[in-house]
Amino acid sequence: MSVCSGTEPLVGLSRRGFLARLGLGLGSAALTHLLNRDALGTTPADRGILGHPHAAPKAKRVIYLFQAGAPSQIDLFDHKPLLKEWQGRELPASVRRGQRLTAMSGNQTSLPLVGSPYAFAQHGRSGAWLSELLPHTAELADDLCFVKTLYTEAINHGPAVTFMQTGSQFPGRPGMGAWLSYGLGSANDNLPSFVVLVTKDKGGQPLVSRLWGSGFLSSRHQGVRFRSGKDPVLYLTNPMGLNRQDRRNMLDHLKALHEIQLEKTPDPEIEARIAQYELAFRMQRSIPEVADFSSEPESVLKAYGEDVRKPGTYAANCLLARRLAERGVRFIQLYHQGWDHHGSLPKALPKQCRETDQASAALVQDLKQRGMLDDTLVVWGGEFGRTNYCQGKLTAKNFGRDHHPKCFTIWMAGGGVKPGISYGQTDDFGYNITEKGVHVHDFQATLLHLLGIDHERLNYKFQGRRFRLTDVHGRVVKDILA
Amino acid sequence: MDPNAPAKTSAANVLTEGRWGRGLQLSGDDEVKLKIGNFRRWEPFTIALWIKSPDLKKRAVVFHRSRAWTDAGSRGYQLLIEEGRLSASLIHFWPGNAIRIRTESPIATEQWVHVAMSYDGSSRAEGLNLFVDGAEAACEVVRDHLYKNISGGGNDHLIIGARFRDQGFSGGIVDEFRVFDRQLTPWEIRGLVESTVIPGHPPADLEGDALKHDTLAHHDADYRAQLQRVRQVRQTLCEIQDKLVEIMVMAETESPRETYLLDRGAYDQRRERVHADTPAALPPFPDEFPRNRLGLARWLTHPDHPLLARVTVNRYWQMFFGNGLVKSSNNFGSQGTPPTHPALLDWLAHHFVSSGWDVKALMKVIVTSAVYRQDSTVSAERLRRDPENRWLSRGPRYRLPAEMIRDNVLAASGLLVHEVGGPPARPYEVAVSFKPVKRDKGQGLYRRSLYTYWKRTGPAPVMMALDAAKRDVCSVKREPTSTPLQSFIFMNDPQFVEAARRLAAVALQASDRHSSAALEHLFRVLTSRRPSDAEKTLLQELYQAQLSAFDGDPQRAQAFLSVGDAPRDEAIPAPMHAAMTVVANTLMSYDECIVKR
Repeated sequence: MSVCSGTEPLVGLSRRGFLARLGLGLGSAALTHLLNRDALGTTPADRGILGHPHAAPKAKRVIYLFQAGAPSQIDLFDHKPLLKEWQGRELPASVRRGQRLTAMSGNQTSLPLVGSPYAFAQHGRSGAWLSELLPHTAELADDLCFVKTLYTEAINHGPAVTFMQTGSQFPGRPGMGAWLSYGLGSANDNLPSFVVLVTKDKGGQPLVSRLWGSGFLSSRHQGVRFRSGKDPVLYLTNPMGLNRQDRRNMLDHLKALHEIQLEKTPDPEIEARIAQYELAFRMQRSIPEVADFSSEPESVLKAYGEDVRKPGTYAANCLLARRLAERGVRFIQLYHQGWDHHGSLPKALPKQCRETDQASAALVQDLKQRGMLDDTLVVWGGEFGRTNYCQGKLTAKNFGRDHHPKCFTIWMAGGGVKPGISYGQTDDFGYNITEKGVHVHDFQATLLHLLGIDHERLNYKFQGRRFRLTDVHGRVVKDILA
Repeated sequence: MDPNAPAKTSAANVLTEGRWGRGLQLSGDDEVKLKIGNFRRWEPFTIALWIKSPDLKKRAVVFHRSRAWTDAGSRGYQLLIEEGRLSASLIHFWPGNAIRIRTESPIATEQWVHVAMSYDGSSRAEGLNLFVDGAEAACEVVRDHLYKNISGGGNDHLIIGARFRDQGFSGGIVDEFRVFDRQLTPWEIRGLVESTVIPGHPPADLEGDALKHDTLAHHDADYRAQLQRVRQVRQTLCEIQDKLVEIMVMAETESPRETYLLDRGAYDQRRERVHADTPAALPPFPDEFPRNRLGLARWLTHPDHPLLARVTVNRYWQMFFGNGLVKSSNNFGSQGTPPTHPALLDWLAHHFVSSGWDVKALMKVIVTSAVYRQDSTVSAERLRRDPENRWLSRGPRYRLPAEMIRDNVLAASGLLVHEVGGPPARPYEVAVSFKPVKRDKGQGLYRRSLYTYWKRTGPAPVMMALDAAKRDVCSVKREPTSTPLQSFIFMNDPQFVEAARRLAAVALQASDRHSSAALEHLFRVLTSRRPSDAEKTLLQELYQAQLSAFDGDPQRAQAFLSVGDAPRDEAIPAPMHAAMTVVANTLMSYDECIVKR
């Protein structure tokens, strides 16, 4: 089997290796010719370590709407009427089967089952069950693929989010976006290939920046977090008093200095450096442009909801994600915190849904209208599920749910995924998977497959071992492929 | 107890037959909340109650003043039943900073038992006692190392019967719960059990400390005054100790924790016990070495050990040359890269060990060597034949690490603070990290990057963009990259803009504001060489263009010069200073300033 693999850092990279890595394949091209290409190093020809995908990709880009904290599948997607009949009764031993609980509810003297207080109904021709908390998502039921049987190995947020995004519960591995940047390179001239958007001012389980780090891969593959303020990217804006003309003047002279140096020292890294300054100059235009919604028609803004007008909200980030996707950003990672409802779920969950439901649906709809949904994969989901029993005191009006790694629901749309299906089955208590379980590594293998990558053949040798996103596991879930 | 501050509980705890009259039967999940009991560690106290345990409890919270045990700290005090035995603790941060004692025998079940926990305010295990049915219980000391407060951390009141996410005293009955703000004498505690006992009047046959304490406590005003004084002195001591900033260090536990192979990684699935040892392929671990970190250090640094010295000199070689003699510096194993110059590696390693592991001497050997001092320029032919300079036929060339790039511009501008050591510094960049913290003013902005405040969940963003290690996993080699995000830092980070401004001022001052001399000064300081005529022309051209731009709009010059906290030399005309700053900043972005050649 041919293994497309990188290896450890290439310090002192050869000129040929350098050019090969950029995918330019220019061999002995004259330097002056290279210097005339102001996009050197970041042209769409930067095809990553693979050069070409292993197979024709269905998805060219991914927008991952990560719902951090773990949304309750039982109150949103996985309709379990039996739980209402059993309301307040103990979780049967025959269902739990002696499986370990977390230390948070494991000490409770009682584990009373709690049905969802929210009304469920079937939607679309596909008849997908959805709770009343997601009215906008429900309208799109026929465009979505609900995977109801995802399961994970992690039991707490830090390891679980890390597992979902990097394939390992331990920190230090590259995330999906970094793997894609490494494998497939960049697909655009003026923007990073991996962008991260975090809803601002959300509490809850903390996020850590290593989630979009590059692990042992080169740090050029790490995600670039766009901020919601004046500088969407760190130090993007010129200092006070310095205008674009000054910057151009400065960069022209810097380039001329570098050209003098190149005559003495034929070093491809100098060429790369020149290219990066030019790219930076272009990004000073392209990034504010992509973050500026003034060209969006009122109808689009309305579709995403009122929040879209406030930078940094989930809705604004969804629209920004679409704009980034249009401009060739390959992996756009959103994070929305606040789904960790151990207690007071009836108060907190509807608020989370109001913040996310409309914009998530609008994003899918918007992509569809633009003809982009076919090659854009949208993923919505958290790091694990929530228990069918109550954590803390079950009262008439209040309850909470603990972490539940044994089953949870995510949805996917577009990018080569079968629309309008629900995949997998959990038991009537919503506790165990009865058929078609999808392990986190299976999900990751499937995601890579949709992007044209064989998950077993994208790897990187580090500290004596080849690593990959799916470790030594993962199988593509063929049943959900369109 | 304060009758105006009654205890509260939910109906899930039910009144039932008590020791005297009625008692309260606990659900295990529902707390009885009192409004008292927030004792500080210098305050003596006693808590007594009757309990009836329905069964032998593996773990049960009888009462506590703490937030929750799920917080690693568990700060507060508590009485638990552990494996049927009573366990009393005062905790600042479990397990390192706490007192715990545990009765040697289990308490009786299905019958009434009187329990008292008394404490003298000494912060010592010997000052903490448990009484069962009026008699002091034999206890083992589990921990005896409390040196910080037990108050704070959340939930300032006593709670009976349950704790958030812990196992409560389910089915247990409690009665006659009493809290005293002093240490009762043993005779007084007996008085809580037996109605015939009268405190202050111990029987003549009572012996030893029990007699002494009770008599003194009840009949000696001087003794009571001295107790009060001790309490005050303890308070003063504790308040001083509480304010001290702690730094965590590792220490061996007295007896090593037992470690087991866990079946499929599940923490509760223990298989065979495992012991620390060294790999069989390496020299055996001598019997005379202690089997702890000290022994490991001795084993590693033993002159015959084949790895440590070679690995170490290889890393210093990598620091100076960009690559080690063994290129896979993080892997000396069977899958690593063989050394290109094995004899040199051996010689350096041997030299390093025989010099007494003298790192400075090692560096001196390397930097004064002929191989290090070679020119790094290379012909196309030699570049083709040895692109990575594995055969060391030329001098090293690599982009400087993050810390050196920043330190270099600070040093060049004269802003660098040379102070060694001290708490971390918070330069401009920490205020714009993923987890922002307030930046410093003054010296903290200009310390070496080594001292930059580090938060692993949101590390210093400039360091990250320049490929510094994230410090979440071991990293012995960084891959230098070239990205547009780095360009933004060189051009727009206030640290760099400010340094450029200061360097421009120094250059203008040193040259009597003659632009050509000032430009040459800048160039020399930042590249360690004089500019060629062509380079001079370019710099002059840039300077003149910016000078006329700023002359035409002095307000822009003023604004540009206001970046950064360091004061500006107002004697220099703003447009001149601003134009020279642009040149300085351009040179800071120039390859020869960020790449070692």
